Amino acid sequence: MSNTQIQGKDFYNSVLQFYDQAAQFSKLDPGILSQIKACNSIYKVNFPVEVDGHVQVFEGIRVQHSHHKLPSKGGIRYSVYVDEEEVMALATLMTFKCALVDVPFGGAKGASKSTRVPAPWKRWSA
Amino acid sequence: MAWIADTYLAFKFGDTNALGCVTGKPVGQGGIRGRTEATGLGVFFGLRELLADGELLKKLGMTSGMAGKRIIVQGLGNVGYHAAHFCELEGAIITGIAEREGGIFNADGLDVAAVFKHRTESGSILNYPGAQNVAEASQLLEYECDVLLPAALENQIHAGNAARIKARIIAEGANGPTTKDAEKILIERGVVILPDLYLNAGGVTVSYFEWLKNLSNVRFGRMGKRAEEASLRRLVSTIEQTTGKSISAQERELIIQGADETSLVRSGLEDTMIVAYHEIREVMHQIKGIEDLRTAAFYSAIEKVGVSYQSLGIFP
Repeated sequence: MSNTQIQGKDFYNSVLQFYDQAAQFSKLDPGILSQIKACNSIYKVNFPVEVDGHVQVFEGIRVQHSHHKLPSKGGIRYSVYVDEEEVMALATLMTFKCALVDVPFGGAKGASKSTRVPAPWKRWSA
Repeated sequence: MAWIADTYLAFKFGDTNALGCVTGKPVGQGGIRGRTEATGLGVFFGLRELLADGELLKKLGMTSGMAGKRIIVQGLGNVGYHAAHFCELEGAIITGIAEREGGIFNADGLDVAAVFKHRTESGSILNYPGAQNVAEASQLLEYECDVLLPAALENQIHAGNAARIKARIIAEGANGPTTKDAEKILIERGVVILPDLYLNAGGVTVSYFEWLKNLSNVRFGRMGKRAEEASLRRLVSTIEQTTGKSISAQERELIIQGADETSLVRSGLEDTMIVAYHEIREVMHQIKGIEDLRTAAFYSAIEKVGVSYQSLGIFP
């Protein structure tokens, strides 16, 4: 059940197709529908951390899919395999998830990626 | 998550809302009771709602109610474990559980808590007493069952295995377990999919409750619990005086119970899942052409976001 880069892309494509499938029934302006579909902002940072005496570069990704309500909300994935498109897919889902159940937040998702999983991740994500 | 709140707090000294910067915190650090099992409990409430939906069940040729339904679960993490556990308590039979290292199957049902203990102690789900090992975990998804509950990773049900899935209901505990191609095949075969954006929304719902708790800086139930109990106590006494009969101490304890944080959180979550389910079904009744729960759920959500843009405009 491992996850790869290709799957992140597939996942995001699936989410977009699910969106389009539903959006075709909407009477909203097509421009507004494109705005609702798009990820509003994607932030990426690379930063060094000393782990067990070795300097290791971490990649941080934060996708805010929608600012229609603030704050935007979504968890953080700590993973070796996560990629930008997977985070985009999850952030997109968060927007519609929150709207569906009347939780007044925009959708977002974050990820912290490294080449190997440092032991503290287990503790952090708890 | 406490360390995130702690770090934020250090930079926002004096901000009384600072604890609301992150959710999923431990209860002692501004967290909320009921957050751990929230997503799994939400999955249970959602599935229970579908299993009470006579109209959809008729199409599936299934009887209503959770009791006796055979469920295969993929993933014994936070979501899968709690979802399976609550379904089991309601009478469902958990016949299979798939994990990274393999799967186990027992047509008579597995004791979810005991399987979890077995996996924690032995380091593997395999060789659980009385169950059959399934070496390739993905094979278990294709076993005979009523409900398939993927609660692990995305892209687990794809064009390559969708035709062989025997479940009549797919309950998406995970995010994106079914690809678009797989969904097409499943819908053609009349399988009902309870979509991720609805079914696992219990997690963010209770996170929202945690945020509300942090903004109000008070535990849910702190103000009302005892007042509610006092009122119930007066009611019981009045009934006893009027009828001349008294009830046992055990019955009295059961009746006189004010809502504490856990019961309020669960009540809010249950209401959220029930209301959203019926909103989705209403879309299917109202909008011609929408015949599956996912399209209906997305449609409902898109319209709500659209209303925001219409009333607020696109600026800023």
